[in-house]
Amino acid sequence: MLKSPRFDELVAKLSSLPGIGKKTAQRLAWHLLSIPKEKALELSTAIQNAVESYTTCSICCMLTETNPCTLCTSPERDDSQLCVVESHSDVFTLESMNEYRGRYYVLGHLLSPLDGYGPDALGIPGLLKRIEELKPEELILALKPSAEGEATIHYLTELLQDQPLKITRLSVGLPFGGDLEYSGALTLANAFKRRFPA
Amino acid sequence: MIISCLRLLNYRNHQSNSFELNPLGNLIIGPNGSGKTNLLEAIAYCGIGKSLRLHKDDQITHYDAEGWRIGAVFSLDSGSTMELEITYSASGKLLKLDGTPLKMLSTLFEYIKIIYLAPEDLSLISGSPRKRRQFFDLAISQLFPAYIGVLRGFLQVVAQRNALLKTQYDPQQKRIWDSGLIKANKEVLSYRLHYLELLNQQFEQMPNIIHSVEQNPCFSYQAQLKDFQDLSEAEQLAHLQKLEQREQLWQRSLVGAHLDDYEVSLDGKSMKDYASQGQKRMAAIALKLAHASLLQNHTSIKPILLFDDIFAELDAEHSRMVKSLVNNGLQVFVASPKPDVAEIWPELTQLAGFGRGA
Repeated sequence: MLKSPRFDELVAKLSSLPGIGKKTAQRLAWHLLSIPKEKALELSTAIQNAVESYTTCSICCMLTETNPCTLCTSPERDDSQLCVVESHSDVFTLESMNEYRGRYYVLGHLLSPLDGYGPDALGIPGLLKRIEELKPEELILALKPSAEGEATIHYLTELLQDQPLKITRLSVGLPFGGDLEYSGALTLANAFKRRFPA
Repeated sequence: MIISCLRLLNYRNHQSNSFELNPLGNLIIGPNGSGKTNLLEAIAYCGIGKSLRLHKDDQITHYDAEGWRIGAVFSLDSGSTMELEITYSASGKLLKLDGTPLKMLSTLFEYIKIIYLAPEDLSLISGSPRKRRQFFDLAISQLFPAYIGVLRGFLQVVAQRNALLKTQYDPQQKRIWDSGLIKANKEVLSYRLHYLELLNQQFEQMPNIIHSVEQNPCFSYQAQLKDFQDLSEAEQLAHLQKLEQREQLWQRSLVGAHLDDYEVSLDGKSMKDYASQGQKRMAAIALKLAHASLLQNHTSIKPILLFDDIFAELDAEHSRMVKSLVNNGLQVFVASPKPDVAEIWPELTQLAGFGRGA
């Protein structure tokens, strides 16, 4: 027998990861079994160590090794701005830009009835608590421009309309430095519609 | 634009064929089953990135081959050439333009404009609303490539809203998706109405194509809920509230661009109900040729026309009339099982490889 239930289980676990299909999972499984045992086990140890040491920040819901996370505790950050994002990786992306100095809140999901995500799936109570405690002047909704992103922006704007907050969203338009000819037709049309005085 | 070379590998019954195409176009004459439509379909595939007969990509593969490939060389009106390669295999479909993989389908719509005409176009006039929506959505995408993304966004909102209607939702969430639907619907409609306006102007300029009537056909938008688009946003929201029980029952969105229709009228009467088969046939052909003129006038790209067995159904006078509507300088491919079509198109050379037993 070439393949055993153990092999199948490994493939099933690997292919449950985002972006990995059955074929890739099989290739990875064969690879893990063919390299020296200690090399393969380093991976499982790394997974175990990371999983055990990371937790969710009780303030902003970001993944962190210290609770609350350094983004929430750092005195360097600006309390007047709170940026709402969909996922942890969005925080990572925005941080690598090294421009934004305010605080964050991670929703975890966008509204998506197709995936079973209603308002309950969004960390709304945590967000309300965060706003109450932080009292930011501006709430920045850094959510992606899609059917789900638009619905979530609409939902949050309505939910928070009575708060003494300036609610903003990210601009939709052309990537800087990109050639017009390589921008998608919709991106270009949007940028045209939302043009502003030079 | 013109297509100068087409190579097909395991594409339906074309196992490995290469065609050098004439800048004016070609006649494709051969018996039934010799692969004429398949050739035209392959050309049309280059313009929309999928089968216009809406067949799945794996159904296109020759017998038990593993996949298929279309290679095409286009000469743009500016004189430069562009190479498109579409490969389908078990691992998926890959489109390459001048060797670079295409990320967005809308890019294809920006460059390549192809119009396919076939006897089944009759259903554009007398068939189901779905057929008309399909045609108009494609046509609008060819004229305004951004429409593809707008429509996709709208359909995503509909899918989300339908999923919501299947659950026990809270009223606030329903309102969010209601207003999402209204916003996205408005955007889709602005493209559709603008296109219709241009199309009707085009029809007014065209010579009269249908016997015994005063005017050419006229197209109007038939929202599923009459004049829904003219209501204010608040009124539209209120309407969706009123529909709530029915929508819960059907578990889907009962209003919006995904259900709307287009009406074709002749001298003020609905063609679907009042016109003869011959009139409908001519109106369908005229619709596609008017679209061709629109593309040419508004994008300055000359579209390629594919006539699949159109002339078998028309008498000599109507055949000549159709030909007279084809703008000069467009590349035209005419497929027919009967050689006498050459009398109407004497300037087109016959494409080799479609004779009996070929």
